[in-house]
Amino acid sequence: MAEDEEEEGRGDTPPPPFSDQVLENVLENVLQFLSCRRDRNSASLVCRSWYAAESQTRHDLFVGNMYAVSPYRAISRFRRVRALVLKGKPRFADFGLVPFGWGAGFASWANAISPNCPSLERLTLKRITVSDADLSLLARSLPFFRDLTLLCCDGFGTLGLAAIAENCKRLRVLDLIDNVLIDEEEEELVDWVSRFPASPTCLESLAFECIDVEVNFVALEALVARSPSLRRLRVNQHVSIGQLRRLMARAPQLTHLGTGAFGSGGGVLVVGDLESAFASSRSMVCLSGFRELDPEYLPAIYPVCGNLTSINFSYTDISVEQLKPIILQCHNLQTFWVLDTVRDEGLQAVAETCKDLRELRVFPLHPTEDSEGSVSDFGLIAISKGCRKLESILYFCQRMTNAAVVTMSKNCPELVVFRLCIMGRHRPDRITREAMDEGFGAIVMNCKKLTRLAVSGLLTDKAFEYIGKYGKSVRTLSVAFAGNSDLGLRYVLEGCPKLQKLEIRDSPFGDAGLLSGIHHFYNMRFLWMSSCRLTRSGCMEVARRLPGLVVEVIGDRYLDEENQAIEKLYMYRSLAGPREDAPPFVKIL
Amino acid sequence: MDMEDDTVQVRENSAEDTEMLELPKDPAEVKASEFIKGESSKEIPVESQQPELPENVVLQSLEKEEFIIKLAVGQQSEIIKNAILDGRGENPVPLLNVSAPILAKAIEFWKRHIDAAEGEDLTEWDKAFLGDLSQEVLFELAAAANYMESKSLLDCTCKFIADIIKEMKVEEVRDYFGIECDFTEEEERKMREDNAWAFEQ
Repeated sequence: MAEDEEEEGRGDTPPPPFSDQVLENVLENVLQFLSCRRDRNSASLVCRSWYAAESQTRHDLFVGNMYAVSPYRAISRFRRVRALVLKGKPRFADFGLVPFGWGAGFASWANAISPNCPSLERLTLKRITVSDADLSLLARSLPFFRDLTLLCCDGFGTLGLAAIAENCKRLRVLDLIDNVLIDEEEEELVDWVSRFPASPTCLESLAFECIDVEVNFVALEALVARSPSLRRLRVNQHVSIGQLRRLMARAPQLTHLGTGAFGSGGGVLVVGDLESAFASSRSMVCLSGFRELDPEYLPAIYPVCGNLTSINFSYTDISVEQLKPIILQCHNLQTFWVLDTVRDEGLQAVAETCKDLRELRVFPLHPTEDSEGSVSDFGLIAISKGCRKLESILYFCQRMTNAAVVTMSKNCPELVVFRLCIMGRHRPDRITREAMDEGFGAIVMNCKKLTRLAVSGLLTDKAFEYIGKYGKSVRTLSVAFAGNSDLGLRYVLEGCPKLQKLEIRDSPFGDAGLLSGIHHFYNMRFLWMSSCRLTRSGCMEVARRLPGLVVEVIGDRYLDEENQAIEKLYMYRSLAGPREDAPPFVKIL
Repeated sequence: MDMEDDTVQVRENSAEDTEMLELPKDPAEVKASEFIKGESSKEIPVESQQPELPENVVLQSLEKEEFIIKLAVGQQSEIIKNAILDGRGENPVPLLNVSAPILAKAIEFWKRHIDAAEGEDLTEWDKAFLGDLSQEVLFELAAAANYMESKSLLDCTCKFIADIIKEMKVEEVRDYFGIECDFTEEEERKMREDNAWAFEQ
């Protein structure tokens, strides 16, 4: 900025007298009203005093890739952080594509946080390995700690949970979702539920559906009874239906209930008794669980159906006959997760009643390539016709048609997330036998708000041309078994300016395709490519030209020939440089 | 009592009816001190019996202008409230960092908020009120709110300013506030990278 220009501009409209000084007095107050991280990042760049003030006042810190910055650097800038969200492994780890021991350990962050962030209250970790020792350290060092949410994490067990229960006196949220606990021998298991303090607690949410061991029910019931603020309770399948009824009687104020087994094991319960428990739960809006469903008990939930905004039936092979009487009462449903056992007919029933539906996920009972498959293009069309406000869909099927996808693209303009998984590789349109290019093309063309897309089926480079041409808002793209040549990858990398997360598996993209993204990789959070046609020399070229990227080649074989195809590439920009905790099977170029 | 000054309206006898005095457009014209002398025997209990709190409060701006307001109105500022509770209510509360036009605006804000019905939503009124102010007055009002420790006014003005700068690019924010950037180009580039790579997405 030339000084002359500045003076000229200032001469026309002189800045308010004392504005710098005046504003400094109130700057912290102004900043408290900036919560979005984009606004805060902008504010921090205005000048030095703003940078300092913003760092002092940022309470919510989001780190999308824990390897993008060292914990000390993050913590020393934002010392007064109150809430931290941290994400670790790439999403394909959920499908077993990231070998055990790859990384994403929480220890270095726990060690940075515990002495330096006394004001930390809330922590959300996703796909991170957290040990019992980490949990114990946090629980003992953070006096105001109150919310812990662990999603798809691993590495901890009942000992760590006990440390949290015992030491976090202000605990309000303990949500354990889709985690894999360490194997503990019988004698190692700790009765963590008994470790909560004996006095009334501040608990608002307790979710432990993923814990595969029995909990002490007497302690659990007593805990619920002395937690007057409890609104969300999601228990595991070891809690029987009779026990569930007792819990519900203790907490009629619940809004979210994970029902545990909901089956016949563990004692007899009259359906009527269970139904009156639901009738008393006047605030209930969300149901999940049903892990060992006995359909005889389903009618018990009728009293709450009219108020439900969210149902998760994806853990039970509920049939269309069992679903219908329920779903026809759920006029307010906005979120619905279910297995494909309900068939197209079940989805039709959803479409007829749930006019407010925003999110639908249809999971496969048998997630293999050659299974029967019970939902198809008919179900997709039905949903698109009935649920015009749909924003997010995840749909597993065996067969699909372009026409159905095109129909959805036109009927559901609010779509933000479109994930279609045609199981079975390279499956073409069921009727025309053509590639699925036109369908996905229509999605990117018609759904202007689309930010997340997952494609599947037989796809040529044409599909990627459409994505590159129309997918201007796409931030996350997931590709499996698709494309013809490097051109496909090039279309996407050159055409999608907002692309941040790209994960590709088993697709014929090679070095040329990879290199076409050189101009864009610094704008992305990460790129994952596995079982494609990349070679070591291609990856080295990227590493050489973009020193700010960490380029990881993950595999079992040591490669000494440059042209040998590599198995897995995971690369991401980082301020911290190559990580020091990489295991032997990871080569950082 | 005969009041010749038609810039001010006062009702006699009824304590409840004693509104904040309507201020003329140019506060410099208010001969408040004259008015006080004339009115004090009726409207303002000068010899307030302890621990009775005075009905009205007198505020004194930077220029020594005086403003009379109801107690309830003034209590929206901690400084004023404390001055009264300390028994200094009968003397004008000096607000030496606040100029008369700004003080007048603050009073207008407080009065509207005190008069609000139970549960009345004043968001639109606040927006219009602040939107009418020049940038200079807006900033000074925020600073005054900070100085006078008036949370309601401070939050309102700061939120309004925050809403203005939301969505602004960094350069636009600097222009708006007349702030000079004191980072070098290299520093700024590096910080943008830090923000984007680690803390944005």
